[in-house]
Amino acid sequence: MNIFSLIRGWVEIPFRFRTLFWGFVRNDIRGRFAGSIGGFVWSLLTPLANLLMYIFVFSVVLKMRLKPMETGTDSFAVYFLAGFLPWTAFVEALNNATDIFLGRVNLITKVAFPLELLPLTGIIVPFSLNALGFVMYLVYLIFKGYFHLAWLWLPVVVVVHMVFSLGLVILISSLSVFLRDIKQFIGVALSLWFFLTPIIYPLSMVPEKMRWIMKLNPMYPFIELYHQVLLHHAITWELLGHSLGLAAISFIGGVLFFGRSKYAFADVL
Amino acid sequence: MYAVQAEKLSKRYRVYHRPFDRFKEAITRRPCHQVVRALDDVSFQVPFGDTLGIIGENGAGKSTLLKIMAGTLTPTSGKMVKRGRAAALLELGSGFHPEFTGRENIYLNAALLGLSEREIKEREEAIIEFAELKDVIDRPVKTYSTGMYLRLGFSIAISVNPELLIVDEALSVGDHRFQQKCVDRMIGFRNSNKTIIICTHSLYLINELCAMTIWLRKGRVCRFGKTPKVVSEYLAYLDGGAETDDDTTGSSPADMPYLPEVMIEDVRLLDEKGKRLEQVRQFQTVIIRVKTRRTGPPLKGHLAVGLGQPDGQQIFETTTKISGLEPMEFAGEQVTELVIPSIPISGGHYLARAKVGDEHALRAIDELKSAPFLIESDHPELGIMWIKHYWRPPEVPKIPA
Repeated sequence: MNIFSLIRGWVEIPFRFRTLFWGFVRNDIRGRFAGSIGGFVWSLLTPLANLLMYIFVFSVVLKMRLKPMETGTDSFAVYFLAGFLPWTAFVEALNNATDIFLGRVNLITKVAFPLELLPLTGIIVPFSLNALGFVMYLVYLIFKGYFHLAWLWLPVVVVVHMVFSLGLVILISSLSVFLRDIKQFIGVALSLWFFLTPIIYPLSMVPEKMRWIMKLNPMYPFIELYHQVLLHHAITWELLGHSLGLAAISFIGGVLFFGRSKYAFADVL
Repeated sequence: MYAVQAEKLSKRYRVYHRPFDRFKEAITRRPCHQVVRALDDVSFQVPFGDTLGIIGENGAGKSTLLKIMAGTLTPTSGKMVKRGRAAALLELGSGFHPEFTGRENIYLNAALLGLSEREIKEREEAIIEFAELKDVIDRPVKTYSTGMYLRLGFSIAISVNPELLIVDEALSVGDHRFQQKCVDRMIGFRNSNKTIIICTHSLYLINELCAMTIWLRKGRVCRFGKTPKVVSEYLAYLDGGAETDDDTTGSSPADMPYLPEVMIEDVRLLDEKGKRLEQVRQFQTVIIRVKTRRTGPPLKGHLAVGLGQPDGQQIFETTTKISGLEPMEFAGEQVTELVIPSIPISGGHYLARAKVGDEHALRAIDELKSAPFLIESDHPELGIMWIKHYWRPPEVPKIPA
């Protein structure tokens, strides 16, 4: 099968099987909060608690000062959330990715349905749950006068970011069927990755000599795009091209690996 | 045109001793696995509207074959062609979310089987009705009993109304009444010219439902043909290779670990003229002839003769002691006959079983089953026997003009 028909499959399947797709999405969201009293409030409280913790450490204790010329804001909270909220969605998607197929052994070996729906659900759910906090953040920004027409780029950035994450989720979820150690690895990798990405600090604070290393980080262009569009009100073609390229590589890589390995899932599971 | 066509299906699993071996093999390209052949060159066809049974011992490859048919497993080689909407019941209620209510689970489970939202809405009430879960449908399914769980699962699957239904052992659980309801529903299915493939250890069910049967043995098709023939051969195989030919007598004494004091050499069914019966009409006269042999001095004992289903379910048994006869004197080769002037058992497959017991009918000395035989019936009623009956319907209420 060639790559184009594989990609077309990924685009068509959520529409062709929309009842099942929405069923999965609804179940996933409801399943997360089933039996908990706080419900989806937790998905707002968690970033809030993180925010307070980082504000305390970096703004209060370490007295980090942002230069509005470089970051577009002098408020640590505003700067931090612009990168942290998209990052949270990404992390949630990747953390849950290992269980996408492994956690549904019974279903996959007993019922025939398009498996593509599962990684798609794994992307849609964390991104839509985190969209709640993100929209509240945007409203706050509007009140503070940050709104700018450059924000119209935001949907583009989000979609490219989602495609990039989807590729990784597909790869991780299929790989972990064969290599169960991925789960542990992901946990460690993500916490390191967080500090290597300019979220709690602006890139300008990184020594000039080390910045090229930062640019090797695949999450760097995405987080920087959020910063630029939201706070700097500009978009650099270089960053957009960089992230588009990464999204394409990640998605095609994931799709190819899944396309080749999915027939072996039921054997291994 | 066939509903299902399997051509030279083979399935080989690679078995790795350690997970690391799989990784090592992928890197070094050197094989680090053992190959297990689950299916080997399996071919068969099922025409539209036919029912196919699959039997075989554990590990014969039945589940692998069903999974390939359901589409969850890909064959290593060979081809599987299905035509029409298929629903597979490999496991009832797989995919249920324990925290969600029955009603919520109907939605996702039916969507998994390929129904659209509108179709689900239309069928929701019928599903709940059939599962008999009206009172508890809005409770989380984790509070359901196993039976309720299965009832809901079956109900959803059957509501899909597929062209092709694939069932795996699913009905062996649940109470007897619901099982019968499921069987009735499947018979209805068959009668509306849909294709059913069923895999079960219950030979009773196979007999009831299937015209053709495949007997799988070690991943290969051992027999494929008309159900009565395949089932009786399978039963003979299970009984330890006892042949069902006319002239052979049970198991030969040489094979026995010890010689019973009285041996039953043969159990067979005859009609009133003394001709051997393989097919019996309901209500005809049946004579069960038991041949016994006693070597040594005469021994007093009783004889029991019963009728049962191939899966071991007993239908009827009587003994010479219960019937008030004096203990029999076993000596040399003898023939005892039990005459049933009119056999009321419903259509299906059965076998006769004879036992020799001691003088007090306490200790069993020897036992032998007959070859399975078929009872043909003109009565469409359900159940294991036909009972004389008539109806008294309610009176039509008079509506005043």
